[in-house]
Amino acid sequence: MSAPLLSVRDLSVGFPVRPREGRPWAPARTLRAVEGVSFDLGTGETLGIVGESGSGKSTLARALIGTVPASGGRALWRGEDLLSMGPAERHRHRRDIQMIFQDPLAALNPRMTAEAIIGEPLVTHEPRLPRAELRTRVGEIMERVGLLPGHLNRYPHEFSGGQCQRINIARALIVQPRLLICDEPVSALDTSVQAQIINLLRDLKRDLGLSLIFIAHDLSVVKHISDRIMVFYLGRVMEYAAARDLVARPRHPYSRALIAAAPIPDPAVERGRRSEALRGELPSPLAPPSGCVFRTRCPVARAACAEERPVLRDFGGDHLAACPFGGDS
Amino acid sequence: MPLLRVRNLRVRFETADGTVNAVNGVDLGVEAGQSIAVVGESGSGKSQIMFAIMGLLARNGSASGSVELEGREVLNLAEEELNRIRSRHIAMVFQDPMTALNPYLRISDQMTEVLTVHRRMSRREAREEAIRMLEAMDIPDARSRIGQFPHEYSGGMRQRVLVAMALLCRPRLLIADEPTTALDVTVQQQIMRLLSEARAEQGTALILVTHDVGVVAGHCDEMVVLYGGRIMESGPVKAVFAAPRHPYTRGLLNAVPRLDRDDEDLPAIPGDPPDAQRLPAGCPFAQRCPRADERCRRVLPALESFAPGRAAACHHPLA
Ligand SMILES: Nc1ncnc2c1ncn2[C@@H]1O[C@H](COP(=O)(O)OP(=O)(O)O)[C@@H](O)[C@H]1O
Ligand code: SF4
Ligand SMILES: [Mg+2]
Repeated sequence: MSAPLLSVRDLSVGFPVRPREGRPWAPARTLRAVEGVSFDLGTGETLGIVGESGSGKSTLARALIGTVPASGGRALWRGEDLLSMGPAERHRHRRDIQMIFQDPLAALNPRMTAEAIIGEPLVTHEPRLPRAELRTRVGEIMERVGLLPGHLNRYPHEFSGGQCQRINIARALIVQPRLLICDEPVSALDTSVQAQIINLLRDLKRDLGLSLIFIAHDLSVVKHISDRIMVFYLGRVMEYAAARDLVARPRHPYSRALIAAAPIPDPAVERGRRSEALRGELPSPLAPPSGCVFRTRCPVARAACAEERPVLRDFGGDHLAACPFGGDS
Repeated sequence: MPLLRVRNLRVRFETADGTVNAVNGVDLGVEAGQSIAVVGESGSGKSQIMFAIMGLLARNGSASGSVELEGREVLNLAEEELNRIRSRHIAMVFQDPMTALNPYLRISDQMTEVLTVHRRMSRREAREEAIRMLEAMDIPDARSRIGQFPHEYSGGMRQRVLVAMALLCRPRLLIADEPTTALDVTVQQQIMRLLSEARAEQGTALILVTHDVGVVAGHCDEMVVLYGGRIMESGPVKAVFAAPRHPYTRGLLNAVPRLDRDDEDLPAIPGDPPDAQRLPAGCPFAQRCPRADERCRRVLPALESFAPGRAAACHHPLA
């Protein structure tokens, strides 16, 4: 890979929180929502991030676009650290990194037409753009994402969920970003529409040379669209590997559990799968287990797992997993 | 005699914007102990069928047709009568457990009420039975946690409580409406397994309402595919997955990425699900169907049996 577009090193995000039952003067504790995340993302690549709710996926994304402050680490964007930039500098890069969210309708201003919504970021970044030119650009991008030109003057509530997500994508892409961060972009959509949006994102990536960070809780969807996958658990990276390799040869017990729990839509296959369901639920992120954060639910945990936090280790071919026992299955 | 027989069920809602035809002539049969999936996308009418069966339609809704429970007509029965039959025969689990739990009552009180009222147990007996049921649902420290309030439980725990409560009355039929949709996949797996095990032991029949064809593949015997408030296809799960007859069924099954395959293509169905307020005259799927012709747009295809236990509603069914 040539020089990466985005190079994240040891990124951490902590939130100060007051314990719910504590006295008003009790000191705030830190919720470590994301801890020590590193990755490189090249031009045209897709990084998938998968994990259960509260595992820190969205927080990582927000730190990258600067809507929550990072508490440590670096995020080098074409050589410059996004995390230590002032607001003015950041603004220069804001155009390059765009984001879309889970709830497609909530992200749209109900009182603006599709045309105004999609054109707005362009007006912000290029205030002197002539009106006619703006119209053309909006029309082009609408066509590109599969919206009908006749729908320019419609309001968000007149569109379906899938069309609203297309509007969000158009709005993000009109400023020609290099990186699009998608946080659960298809989770709120119907199965048949989900496939449309996944295909659209894949085509856009290919045709525009976009890089994607694709966040979802559904491993099957993430695997379908990603080149590499990062598996999160309680704010930490459990495994990070090429998508197919991760699913075919998972090294971390948590990844194995996620794979085993993902239903395969084929009774001939699904009925024959026999695996232990993971027991218990996510521990509180305010009091993560010592050592390996997964050990309280891990089917192969041993005494050593409570002692030391496992580091990500390369099992060969850039397949990283944070479990010293990941080789044995 | 089947446990539940639904015939020509229709549900409509009167709104300020006009009539919404949510369910348009649905037939269903559930035998004792059977598990049947009702599959469809949002707005296809899945939940309204269940609400009509349970007598829980919203005020502006009305149902017609027939719902027989063990041979007895229960559709549109008076509330009291319905309550009595319902509590003895049917239990329901919803997507959001908080809609069914009282936030101000301890879990113990909510669970034992069912037992003291319907199974006439003493309070102590009821409490022990409730604890046993929570333990069966893998709730850790059930004996102490039963004294807590719903907000002290996680989403997954609450759903386990609801499943436990549903099974406490030993219903002949359990209706579960998207019971695991709001939960993480590892928790979904736990709950679906517990549900299947408990059902097998008690001989409870299940109607599982879901949009997730993966869950159907793992947990149901029979399936019914809904679209625009109508049944597009029905049959045994294995047979339908192996050879879907209706273009919509095939489209739906193909549109889900599979973890066990490295497919490059994900064939999507173009367009959007129909609006129940503006259903087309002919086949509800015609606008999105690759096989549709003039006749499809004009004439509503009837649900016709083409093999034992299987039926599809299509003018040009797949071979
Ligand atoms: N502003 C905030 N204040 C305190 N805690 C937060 C805040 N935002 C997120 N969190 C917590 O951070 C953790 C990670 O959250 P999130 O990034 O939303 O995870 P995911 O996207 O994987 O669901 C969760 O425990 C969440 O409750
Ligand atoms: S009836 Fe016609 S439009 Fe409807 S599913 Fe069959 S072929 Fe398609
Ligand atoms: Mg999130």
